[in-house]
Formats: sequence, structure tokens, C-alpha cells
Amino acid sequence: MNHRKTAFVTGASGGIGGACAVQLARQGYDVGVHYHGHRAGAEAVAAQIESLGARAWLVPFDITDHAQIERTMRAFIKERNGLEALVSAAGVVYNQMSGLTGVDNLDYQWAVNLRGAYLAAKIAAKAMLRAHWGRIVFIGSLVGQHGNAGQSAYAMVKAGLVGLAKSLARELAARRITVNVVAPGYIDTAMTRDLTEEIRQFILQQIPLHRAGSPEEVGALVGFLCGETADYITGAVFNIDGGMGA
Amino acid sequence: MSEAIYSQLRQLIAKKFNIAEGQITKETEFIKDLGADSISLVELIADIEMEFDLDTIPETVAQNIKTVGDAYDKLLTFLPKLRA
Repeated sequence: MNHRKTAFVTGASGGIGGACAVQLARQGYDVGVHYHGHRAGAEAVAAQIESLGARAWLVPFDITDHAQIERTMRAFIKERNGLEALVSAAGVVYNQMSGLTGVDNLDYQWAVNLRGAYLAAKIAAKAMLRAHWGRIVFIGSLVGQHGNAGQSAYAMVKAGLVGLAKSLARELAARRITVNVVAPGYIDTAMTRDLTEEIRQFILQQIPLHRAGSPEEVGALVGFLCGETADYITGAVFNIDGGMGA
Repeated sequence: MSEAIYSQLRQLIAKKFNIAEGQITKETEFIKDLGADSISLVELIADIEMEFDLDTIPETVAQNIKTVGDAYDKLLTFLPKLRA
């Protein structure tokens, strides 16, 4: 039977999530393109996916809302009769010193970056358990391992993704479901494009390869981890950072 | 109607744990009698949800399913129209 595999990418309207979604389509996946608010970005990603001959579905929901995640992802998985890959890329960052970070700000970063990732993975894993095969990739961050002044809340929740991935990897390994983290460093996306030239130059000096990475480079690594040949890789963290964390 | 549900549940459990349906009673314990581990219990819940077209069985309910009878009783509570 010619069963096309299905992937679901949260935060797929963003630069990294979108690049992951397109890469998965290139590898033969049909893709659920999750977004919240940025419909135009999601539509552009879906158009790229369809231009590759794969199918794309726009799936909007608020990833901080448990009921919405549950209802929407379950309906998607039911409609597709399964799910083979989840890429958890929904993310938000507020650059602020910890002394200036309010609890609402902290809670929102936790809800989007970590709680939402946990809930989406839990639903995806259930579908993968039934098939005895699956791929889960969390988009973490280099700062989750190294920290960064002005990003304590973001670093904290991104570090949490590592613990989540390693625990799920152990829980699900017996069913050939792999769970990994891809931790980008400085990637050229809308999230980083707003930096001043002075900060940009400062960051580039910290990168041995002296350039920003591209979302497509992150997508290629995620695509590899979602492929058949990555069967023996689980519970791992892959930095993609031009050597910044070396 | 509830007998048909029980029969459907037994078939699902028999297939999942590779045993004869006749060996399954409401007292059968998943871990002790069927050799289930924690991951296969999660799988079973997912299978039940799919088989009976349930949205979800809450974790607080799933955690307390130890026997086939528990699974059946909980299943009935999530299929309210069958209890009328």
C-alpha cells in the first residue's frame, strides 16, 4: 500500500518551522502546517509544500490552550489516520533581563515553548505508539545549554525541552519512536532580524563560521532526524550554530 | 448493546496481547495476567480511543485502569448513549 507519511509542524508559519515543513514535504511527507495569528506565513509555507507535490493543511490553534491543542491535533490525526512525525517549532522569545521580566511574560514563554511542546508531543506519541514508529523533534536553542544575558526565561524553557526529549526518548524507544532536540544558534529569521547592527556584529564575532545560519540548514537537519536512516538516534541534542557553542 | 461493547473490547485486548479471547475475564489484570508494561497500557488506551471513536480518555481515568473490567466500566462512562 502506498501510504504517504504525515508530519505535523507547530509554529510552521515561522522561519525555522516553515523550513522544516518544506523539507519534510521534500522527503515525501504530507504536512500539517500549524500557525497562530500569522496566516499569511502559513499560507506561503503551504504553497511551497504543494509546489513539491505534497499535501498541506493549515491548522490554526493557540498552543497555550490545552483544549484547542487536544481537539485540533486529534482531529487532524484522525483525519489523516495517523501521524509519523512531529516537529515542535512553535516558539516565542522576549529579550529582557530577569529583573525586568514579569510573571506574565515568564508564563507565556513557558506556555508556548515548553508546555505547548509537551502537550503536542503527548498527543502525537499516542498516534505513533499505534503504528510502532515515529519521529519527534523539538526545536530547542543553543541558549538552553549555554544561557544568555537577557534571555533567562527563554533559556530556562528551552533547557526544559532537553529533559523532555530525553525522557520521552526513553519512554518511547521500545516502539521505534525517536525523540531529539535540534538546538539552533544564530539563525537568520524574523526573530533575529530586528537586532541592531551593533548586536548583530557582536554575535557574528562569537561564531567561528562568522555567519548566521539559515532556516533551511536547520530544516535539513530536522529532515534527516525524521528520515528512515536516523533510526538509531534518540534522546540526543544537535547544535546547529556555526560552532558558537563549541 | 453493552454486551457487544464488551465483546469488541475483549477482541481488541486479545489481539493486542496475543491471547485467546476465552482467557479474558473482567477480573483479568493487564500487568499481572497479560504481562503489560506501562507503555503498552498507554498504547491500549490509544487503541480503545480509536476503536470506540472517543475523543480522549482523561489521564486521571486511564491511570486507574488495572483490569479488563475497569477498562470496560470506564469505557461505558465515555459512551453515555449506550447506557440509556
